[in-house]
Amino acid sequence: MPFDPFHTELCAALALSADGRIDRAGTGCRPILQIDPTTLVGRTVFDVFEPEHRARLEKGMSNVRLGAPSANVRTRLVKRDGTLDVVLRMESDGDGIFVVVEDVSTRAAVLSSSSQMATLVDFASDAWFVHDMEGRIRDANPWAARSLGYSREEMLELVVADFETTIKPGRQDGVWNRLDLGKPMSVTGRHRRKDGSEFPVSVRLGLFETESGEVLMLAICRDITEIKAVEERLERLNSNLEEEVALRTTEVRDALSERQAVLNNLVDGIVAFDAQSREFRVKLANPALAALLGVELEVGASAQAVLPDELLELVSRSLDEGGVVDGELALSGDRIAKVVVSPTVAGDDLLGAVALIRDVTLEREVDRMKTDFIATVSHELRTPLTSVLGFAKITRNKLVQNVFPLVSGEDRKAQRAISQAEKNLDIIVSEGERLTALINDVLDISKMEAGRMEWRFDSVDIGALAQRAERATSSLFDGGTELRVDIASDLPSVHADADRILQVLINLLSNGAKFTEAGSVTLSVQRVDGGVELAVTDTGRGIEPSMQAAVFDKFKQVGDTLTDKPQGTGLGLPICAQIVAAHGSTFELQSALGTGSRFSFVLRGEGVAPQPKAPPDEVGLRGAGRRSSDPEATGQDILVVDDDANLRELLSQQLTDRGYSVRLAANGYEAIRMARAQRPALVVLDIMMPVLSGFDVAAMLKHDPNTESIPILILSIVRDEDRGYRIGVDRYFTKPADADEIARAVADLLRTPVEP
Amino acid sequence: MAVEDPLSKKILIVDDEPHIRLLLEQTLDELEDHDVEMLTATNGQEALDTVADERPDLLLLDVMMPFVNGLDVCRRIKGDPSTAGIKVVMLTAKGQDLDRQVGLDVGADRYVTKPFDPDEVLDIAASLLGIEL
Repeated sequence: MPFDPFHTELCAALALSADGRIDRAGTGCRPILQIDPTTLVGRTVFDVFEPEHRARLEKGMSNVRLGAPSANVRTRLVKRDGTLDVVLRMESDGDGIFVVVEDVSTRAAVLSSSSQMATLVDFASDAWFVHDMEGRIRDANPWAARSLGYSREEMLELVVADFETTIKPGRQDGVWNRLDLGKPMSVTGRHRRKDGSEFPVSVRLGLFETESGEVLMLAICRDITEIKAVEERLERLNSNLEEEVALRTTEVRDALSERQAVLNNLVDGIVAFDAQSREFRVKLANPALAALLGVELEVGASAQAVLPDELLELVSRSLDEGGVVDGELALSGDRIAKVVVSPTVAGDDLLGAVALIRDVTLEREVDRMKTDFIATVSHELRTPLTSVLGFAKITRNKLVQNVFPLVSGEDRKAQRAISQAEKNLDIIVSEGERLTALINDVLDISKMEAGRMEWRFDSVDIGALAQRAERATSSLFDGGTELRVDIASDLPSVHADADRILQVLINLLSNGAKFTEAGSVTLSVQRVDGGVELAVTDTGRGIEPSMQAAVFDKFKQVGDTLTDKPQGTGLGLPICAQIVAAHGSTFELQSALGTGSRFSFVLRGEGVAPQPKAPPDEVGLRGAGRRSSDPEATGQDILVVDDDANLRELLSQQLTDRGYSVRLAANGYEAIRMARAQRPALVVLDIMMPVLSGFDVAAMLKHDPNTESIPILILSIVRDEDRGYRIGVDRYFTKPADADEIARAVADLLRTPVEP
Repeated sequence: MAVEDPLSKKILIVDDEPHIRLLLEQTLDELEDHDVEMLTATNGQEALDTVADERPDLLLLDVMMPFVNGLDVCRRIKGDPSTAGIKVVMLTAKGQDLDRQVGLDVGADRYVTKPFDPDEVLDIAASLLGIEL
């Protein structure tokens, strides 16, 4: 049967409402407080107990209401025949407060010899009992009885050994003998309840002497089941932690030794630096590094004087930028190494940098051999190809001009043979040309892959470039397909290799033409965030989703090649992709079967505002003075080639006045050298010059892939425009020429707006 | 400058490939109507010998040849005042920028890449010889 504090004589129990009024009083009130419990109900604790202690009582109640587990208040009960010392133990009970009142008057008598101890006992919120040195219980508080499941009367019949399982019955505990008066000590033990169950306790033991001179022992006991459980959990955790630490230590040790083994056996050199200082303090270096660089590194020391500057520079850059950087490093014995430096970070902290150095001499050599091999093979292929193409063309011409006219028009068989022979020779020629294109593409891509392509990056007017692509491909759009061009007017200049981007655009437009039988191909050049987007959209057959990634693979052609358009090597798009990649960009491909395809890529703008359109300018080339725009803004380089110093000077002045930047060459050799080195935006060329004529210079420039895109304007007394245009010059003027017309032609070729 | 006497015109074709020699001959055979004589040589040394014996007006010169290559032949012809007036057209492979660069240094008059268009070569030869086709 559960312990009910309101129906026991062990204690006087009171239930208080929120305002301190007594709602209920237990039967224990009568024996302990000598008050009829029924008379207590409805009164307040302040009426019953010493009014002087009202503040104490209120404080205790307030503490309990605020969440304290319990509060003990010592006060007195005012009775008609005197006062009774009591301790009110208060506990929260829903809205109200549950109070147990203990009479401490008798105890005060027992304990009065040790007031300190008495205070301790009265205010203890734990179970306590007093026993003599034989272990006989002399007194116990209700909590002690309750915690063990006995009545108080039963308690007084017990000896300690009856419930303290760590003490053998009939034997005094050794601890007791070690106690001195006034010097309490703490022990732990186990208590057994009346029902046989046990629980751990922490016991505070102290000796005191009663007034009668008897030495008794006070034991204050606290159930530490919870604490024990927590301790056990902690202990388990601790031992787990130890195991964990042991395991991790082993792992770390293993990882370290593995790392050491890897580092020691790695072919690549590795060196790690501390980020703390920029003294390149070495944290780690492997034997391969020492072998590759021929240096000895000491861990902890600065490598500044030991490692090559190029390497340290890369490390600095990696630390500054917080990113991976790579570069090359010349090693002794004509060897070459590739270096990759990665910063080491933990969270946001830069710890240092690790440099990996790989000897790539052999790979470079193999690459070089591959490229050389391809160059040689393609060279060797040209010889038979020259014969095939050349003889086919000659044979065709001779047949058409000299033989076919002789064949009788009535002989139908002969007529059919003639038409077949002509068609067959055309096929041989077109296939031969296709083979030539393939060889050129193979050369291109092998150079690009070997990193031997020479790029010429410059500030490029992308709108003008797109117009060149339009002109170059316009002949492909004679049939049912329309070429549309949409070039925005406010384009920023971009940093690009103009010739290569032109190659990409021409390739994309040719592809569009090839795979669009009827419809349109659109070249769009638009300003986007961060640069310019170039896009070629066709309304052709489209590309299957599964094939879309493959179009950039070498030697893949998507869909059926139209037999009547045997162009294309399957290398066009891979080359385009390489070119676009070299510009730090990538292709975007959107395509749907039957709807068409859209290839696009973005070129980074130079952050330069687009050239402002010059206002309409009345001043022609002859005009003095006024410049159409700031030379810095227009500023395009023009190379003027003339052996006559006066003419050079005149042209120079006229062009400089227009805002162009002019360089001069006095003969053909100088012109070619300067054109190759400086790649002017345009060349103005005289024909009659010593040693190398203007025609020769033009032919050389138009023959060299590096200069063939530079527009050439001939200004000469020689009237041989056909020859000029055959060589590929862009404009031909005979002296004396109208300066305004020349200015317009120059502006047109450079796409500088000029309104005469 | 070539002398304005059509009867004296000679073209020397230098290539170690017999088919290319034949192709060049056929390419230029229209010039025979203009009294141009066609000579051939199969390597550099033979070319130099023929230049000394025959004094041709124009050389069509392949770069890649055994023994004495085309560049050396050109350099010697242009370096000798008695033969410097002979026009030289170098036949090179496309993409070999180096060839063209070196070719310029050795003083060739024109450069044609293989595979060449016969019509273009005919035009070049005619214009270098001052012949109206």
